[in-house]
Amino acid sequence: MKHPIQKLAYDPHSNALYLAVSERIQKFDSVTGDLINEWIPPTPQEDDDPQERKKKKTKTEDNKHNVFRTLTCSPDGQYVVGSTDEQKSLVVLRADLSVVNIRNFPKRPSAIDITSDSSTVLLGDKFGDVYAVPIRDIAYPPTAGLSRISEVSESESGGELDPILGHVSMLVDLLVTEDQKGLRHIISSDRDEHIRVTKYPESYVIEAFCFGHEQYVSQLLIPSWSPNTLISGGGDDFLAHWDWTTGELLEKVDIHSILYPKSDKDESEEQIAEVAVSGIWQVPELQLVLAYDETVKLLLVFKLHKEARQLEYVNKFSSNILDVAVTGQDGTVWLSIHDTSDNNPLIQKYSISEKGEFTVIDSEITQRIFDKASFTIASRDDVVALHSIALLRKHAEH
Amino acid sequence: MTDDQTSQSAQLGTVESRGLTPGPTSNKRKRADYRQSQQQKRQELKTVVFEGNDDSQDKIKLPKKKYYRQRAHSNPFSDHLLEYPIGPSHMDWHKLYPALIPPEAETSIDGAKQVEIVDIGCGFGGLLVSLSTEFPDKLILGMEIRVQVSHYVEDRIIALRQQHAPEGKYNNIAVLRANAMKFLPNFFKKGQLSKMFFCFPDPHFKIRKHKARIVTSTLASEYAYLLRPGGIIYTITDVLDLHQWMVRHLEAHALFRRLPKEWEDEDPCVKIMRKDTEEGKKVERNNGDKWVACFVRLDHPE
Repeated sequence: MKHPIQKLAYDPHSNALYLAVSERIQKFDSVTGDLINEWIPPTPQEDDDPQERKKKKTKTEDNKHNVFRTLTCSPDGQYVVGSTDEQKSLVVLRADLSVVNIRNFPKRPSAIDITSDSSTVLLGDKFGDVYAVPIRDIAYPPTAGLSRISEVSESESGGELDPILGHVSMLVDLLVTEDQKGLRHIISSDRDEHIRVTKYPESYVIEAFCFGHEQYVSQLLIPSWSPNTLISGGGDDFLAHWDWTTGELLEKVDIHSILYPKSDKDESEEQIAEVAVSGIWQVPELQLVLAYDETVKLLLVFKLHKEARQLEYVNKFSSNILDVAVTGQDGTVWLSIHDTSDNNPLIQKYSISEKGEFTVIDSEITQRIFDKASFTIASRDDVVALHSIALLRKHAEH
Repeated sequence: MTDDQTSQSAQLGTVESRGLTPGPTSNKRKRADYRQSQQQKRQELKTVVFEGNDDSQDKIKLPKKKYYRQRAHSNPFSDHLLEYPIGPSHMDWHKLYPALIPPEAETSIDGAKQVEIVDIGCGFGGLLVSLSTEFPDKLILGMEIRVQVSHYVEDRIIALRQQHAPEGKYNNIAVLRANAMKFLPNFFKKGQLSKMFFCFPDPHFKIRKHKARIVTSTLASEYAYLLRPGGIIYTITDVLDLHQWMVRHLEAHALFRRLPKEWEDEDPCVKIMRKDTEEGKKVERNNGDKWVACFVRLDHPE
């Protein structure tokens, strides 16, 4: 069987589709379905230190892979950036998948985003700290000059980064925004219920908190057609719809009733019906917002009209989804599907209608990608837990 | 909190039924009984406004500290069962300041009396009690993460309020059990506070525990959010290393500037902080050093 594709990233400049498959990153031409390149992590060199070796051994025995948990393209399409689990590293690659930088962090990275000028990666970790990691590309300096290169190599060797902001709880998602005046903000959310709006790069200035969630906040989205709007979701029974510039909660959009429709059955037979939103995406051409719940395995489609302050539920689509990559072209999306049965394609391309209906398209291309994608694994046990958002829910200690 | 107590008394019950001799358990039992009765009193008196001429009521005794002892450390990262408002506008301050804030007062209404001074990790409440008379027209809140200790302070304030009912004193102080590292912004609005006290915080000596310290550069941004420009952070500790750490982190922060020693010498709060905190007294007894540093919240550089 093949390893599922845990993360997707789409670059509209080159129509490239990047896949994170376990520890690897693969780049496909999304038009032809051809595999363009592949990045395989360098095998760790054998250390003479016996203690080191012992450590490594136990790691492989535990079947812990250094899998990618996040993957994103820089806005200019020049870089693809991901973070891994076990080594806690940030991997910055050029579009041809050559390495710019691999940097290890003290705590596991849990969220990344890239500034609109493609110069800096913002990385949040399990401890709630956020770091600003410059993409210092020596191979392609934006303004080539000797002084610049020497400066780069000097700071490259330089030591540790200090966090630019920090929550006292696991950081689950973050966004960096830029308004028309060029003012930038970081919006970050954590495993407590906090959403924080911080100035960037003046990250010592907290502008606002968005209060209203009662569970972890795992997903943040600012629709490109409504830049003051923030949509957030996580363990709560609703999606929250904010004006993030003021912190005002505009509405709570109930999703529990869609995910768990009331049946005619006895209400006494109530089962655990918890919400776990593991993804929120936007389809700008159709002004749609997609939200995925990993427990019910349902993708919900909402419409957000530009001027309307209301998120309107349109449709739902049932599938076991790991990630969605929106192409930005005529409402087509790539879905990575976690299918445990053999020979089912792990990736599909869909066209979404205005009414939120999903139609499979370009199945020949997806088949080609699937044939070359990923690597074969012996058994399901080789796959780490990929649906893990629900675990963020807090349970009382006593 | 109550679970904690019932399980304890249940345990005691079994010990007794086995016919074990008293000894240390009888102390335990005393403590449990005492806590139980205090708990009841607390429930009844928490939101009572004591009238000045009510002499018929029994004078409430100040609580005894020995019944409230709890280990000095608490993990700020664990998921304690804490109660806190969803946001500042959800906070019911009437419960804490029944004499000064009417029940229907929405905290969102501007002009309503608001908490302005906060003692983070108030311990047994010595500083609160002194600040109460120093700033009689300000609302002052102590925050403490340890259950028993916060109960002690609550009982102490109830007793003080009743004892001083004729003068109407101590109505302006209150205590909350809270994890201030995580949830301060849930209680207070941007710029609501004028003073924050950090008295003898847990030093967390180990390097890997440094993130658990109450003053870090990242938390300083949160304190800057809560303090109005001109507001002041007070710190005091008997651990030189921690003092240097706090100074380093707050001085490096763009929104804080350390105040000079002359300022410290003039400020009444510094005096109170040195003398009237529990730890301050202990350090005094042991002839230890006390390190003070105060910082003013600057305006945003635009």
